[in-house]
Amino acid sequence: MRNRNKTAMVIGIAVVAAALGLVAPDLARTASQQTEWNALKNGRDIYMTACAACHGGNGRGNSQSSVAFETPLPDFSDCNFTSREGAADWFQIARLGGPVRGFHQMMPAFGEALTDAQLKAAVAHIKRFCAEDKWPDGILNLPKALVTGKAYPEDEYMFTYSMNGGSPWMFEGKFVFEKRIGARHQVEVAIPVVVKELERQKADGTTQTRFGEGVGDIALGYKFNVFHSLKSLTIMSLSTEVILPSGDEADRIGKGFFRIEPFLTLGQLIPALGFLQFQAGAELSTKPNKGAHELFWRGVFGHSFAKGGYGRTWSPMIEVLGAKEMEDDTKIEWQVLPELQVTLNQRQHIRFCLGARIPVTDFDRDNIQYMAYLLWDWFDGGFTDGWRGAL
Amino acid sequence: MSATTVSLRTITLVFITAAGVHCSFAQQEVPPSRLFSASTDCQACHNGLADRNGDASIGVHWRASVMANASNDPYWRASVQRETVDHPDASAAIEDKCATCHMPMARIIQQQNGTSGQVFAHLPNAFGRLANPVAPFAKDGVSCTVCHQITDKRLGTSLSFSGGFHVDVTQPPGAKRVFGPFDIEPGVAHIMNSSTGYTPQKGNHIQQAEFCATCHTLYTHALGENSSDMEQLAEQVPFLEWRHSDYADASSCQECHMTAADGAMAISSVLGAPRENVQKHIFKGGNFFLLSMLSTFCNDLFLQANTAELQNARIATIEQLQKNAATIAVSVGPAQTGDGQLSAMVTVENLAGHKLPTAYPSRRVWIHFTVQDDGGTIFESGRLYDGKIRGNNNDRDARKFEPHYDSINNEEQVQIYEAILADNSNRVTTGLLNATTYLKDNRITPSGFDKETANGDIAVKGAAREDISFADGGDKINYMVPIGNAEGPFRVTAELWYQPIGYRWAANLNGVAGKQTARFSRMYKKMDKRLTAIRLATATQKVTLLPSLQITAAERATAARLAAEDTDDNRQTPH
Repeated sequence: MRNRNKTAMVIGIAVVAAALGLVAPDLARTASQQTEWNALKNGRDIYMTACAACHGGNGRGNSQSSVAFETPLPDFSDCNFTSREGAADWFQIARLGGPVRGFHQMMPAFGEALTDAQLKAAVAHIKRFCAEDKWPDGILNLPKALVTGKAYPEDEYMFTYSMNGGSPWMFEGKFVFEKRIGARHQVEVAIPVVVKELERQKADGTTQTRFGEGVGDIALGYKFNVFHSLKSLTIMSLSTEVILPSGDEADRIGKGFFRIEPFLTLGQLIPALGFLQFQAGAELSTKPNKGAHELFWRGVFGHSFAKGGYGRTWSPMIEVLGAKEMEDDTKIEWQVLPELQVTLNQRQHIRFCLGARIPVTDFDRDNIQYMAYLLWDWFDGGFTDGWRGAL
Repeated sequence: MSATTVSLRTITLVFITAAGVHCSFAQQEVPPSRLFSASTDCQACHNGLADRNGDASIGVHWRASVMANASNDPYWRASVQRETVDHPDASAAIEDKCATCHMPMARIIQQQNGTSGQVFAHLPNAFGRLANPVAPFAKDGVSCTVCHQITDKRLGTSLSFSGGFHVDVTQPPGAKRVFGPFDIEPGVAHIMNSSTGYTPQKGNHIQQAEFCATCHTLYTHALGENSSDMEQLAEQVPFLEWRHSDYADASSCQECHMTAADGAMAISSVLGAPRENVQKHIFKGGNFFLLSMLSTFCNDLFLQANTAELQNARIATIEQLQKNAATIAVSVGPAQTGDGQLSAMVTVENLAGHKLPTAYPSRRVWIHFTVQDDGGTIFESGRLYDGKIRGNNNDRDARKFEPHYDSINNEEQVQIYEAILADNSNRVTTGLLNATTYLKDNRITPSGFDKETANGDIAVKGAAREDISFADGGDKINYMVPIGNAEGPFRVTAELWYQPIGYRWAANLNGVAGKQTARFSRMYKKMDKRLTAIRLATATQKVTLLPSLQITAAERATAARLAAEDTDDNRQTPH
């Protein structure tokens, strides 16, 4: 009996040893591979090991004959591309794969193979393919508020809507086209379309209500980014808008004279807390007798959060708007504007914002203006791109 | 309720119902991407690889291979068309059968959608445009996600032959498995899964000959009157030949046809660690001429590989054939002035693990034998001209064929190692679905192949069966060369030649009605016919005649015996 047990034990040990002998080399190999990658700390080494097969050692993307797939690869050395989004976005794509931002599935998820620190180092290396400091980083591209302008130069289409809550009823739709030129410049055209309720005094003394409608005063703008710093997380731009008297003055859809609006915009990211944006300037009238010069200042505070750091991004904001005509007997008009911006698609380049502009000075419920916009960052893709992702 | 309202409602209802029916049918269609991925989804991570000999990119090697171009092959397309023209009632079944291994992904997709495999519906038009969503998968030939999705189910059994491989079509993308020879680290497996929907898994079956046998063991059924099924024919059975040879216990298909990487190499350019024992995806087979055609007509055929890649594949294939396919030796017996004849023993040896040639019966190997003196060629058997072999009956007349020889004594005789098919009236044919038997199969058997015990599927047929010098990996042929009054010295040369598409197999497609047959014939006509064949091996011996009456009969007999023994030492391979 004892001998039989001994024999069984010997056989058992032999079987286990043989099994280990067969399996161990493969286990050892996979373990050693893991160890090799874990040892990679330098962003360049990580990039060359994990990313260069498609994106090329120089970041310009390998040829189609090499990668075989037809989806065009980005050129990381093109600052206009590489600077557009912040490192956090790049990190999420590297960690979770292209579909997390509505990009092609061919961009794999590295999150199970590389550590967060390694991925961040690789992203930092990618960001360094852009060797020009003059391009403000996408992290400074703060959420657009409904009224307060932002400092980051953009490529966007924006459709804004505002409507009066009370009487007289007024609706304004505005199409805004923004085009970035180079690192720091941006031009802009804004074309408003206004529908408003008008009252007309008739000859018999009664009033008649009708609707006036038409294109309002078209604005042409130029923005120049004067300062940006990743160290202080600050961005500042100077802008000028020329507002044309294209709207019907009689129906008060347009003001009937040229105006020039120089202003400054400032954005400040406050890690963990949120962001601040500030805009201050003047609207200078070319016909002071018809419309006075005006000073304005606007500030917005907001915070963005997203599920898991990568899902739909919600940005509640509150704006404080102040304006004063440059005449002695006028008072400052204050308004507050609580609002919420949300990304509509996976790519996050289609956004919607809704808010209410509430007069603080001489509050009147009827003067509350409801505002919204639909924003399309067309540099990031077509309107129908990036809606479907893995998440 | 007015009549107008009623009819409007009726029309609306009809539209809604029609739309619903359409949607319900549309929902039943299995999208191709649910079953397979195109090779273009795989190559990015499996290119940019190298071993000590240079580029060893899996994608680049594969896309220039005959496997990748299984459906782009103009000869195959023409051959399928020829069969459908010969047997119009069986067209659908023929396309389905051929698509099984030449367009495997498309065929499985179509099967899953309740139809049979098609061939011609998937071919690109003159501008390269593909007509349907399945066509890109057809064009991808024997692609990554078909081979690597094959499971070990029924491998090696007769059920697995003729394209009877098993692919798991039940799993959705994300849960699909692809098999390879290595364990893959989970992080990398996740990378692959996130990008392609496939999870790599170790599967040793992918390295076994039985895996290749699924398509490289093909039985056809001859079609008689009204396309009725007739006898079964073992049309190409290299796996069965291999199994009957010494190689069955020594090396697999993959070991010879997928060259081993020189040293450790990574199999992925994304986090790929060097691995030992990687077999490259170069697939060096026997059809170098197809690679020449693909390279020449690369743009006309809208191929993924470029001309240079196809040329590299052609060169590698030829190198493999010239290095590893066969040897030849020549031994000339002593001769003296006045004999009027030279006697030479030519010995060929098959180094391959299957018959030489093997597989598709269009292939032939033959001996080009010459005797020359300073004045030129005195005797020549088996010269290649315009894609034909001089002296070959079959190249002169489609109804005839060249027999197997034990001894050759005039220039009109040539030793050709080939398979000659015949229909049920014993007429020579190149129509696969007309063929019921082999009139001749003297393809050189591999080492260890016992022709006495070989079953009917791999049997030696014709005169070679009775030729005792045709055995176990080789053949010996005696050349009795009339030299008249020539005094030498002589140079006796024996060359072993190989042609993947024999002249008759190409010529018989000429004139067959059809776009693909016409296209192939045009392409074939344009090809330099010297590219249709290569020399596998060469042996030369210089001979000087002895003065008359100096050799006694006893000496002659002893010399002949010694010469035969020396044959092995004289074997040469070309450089």
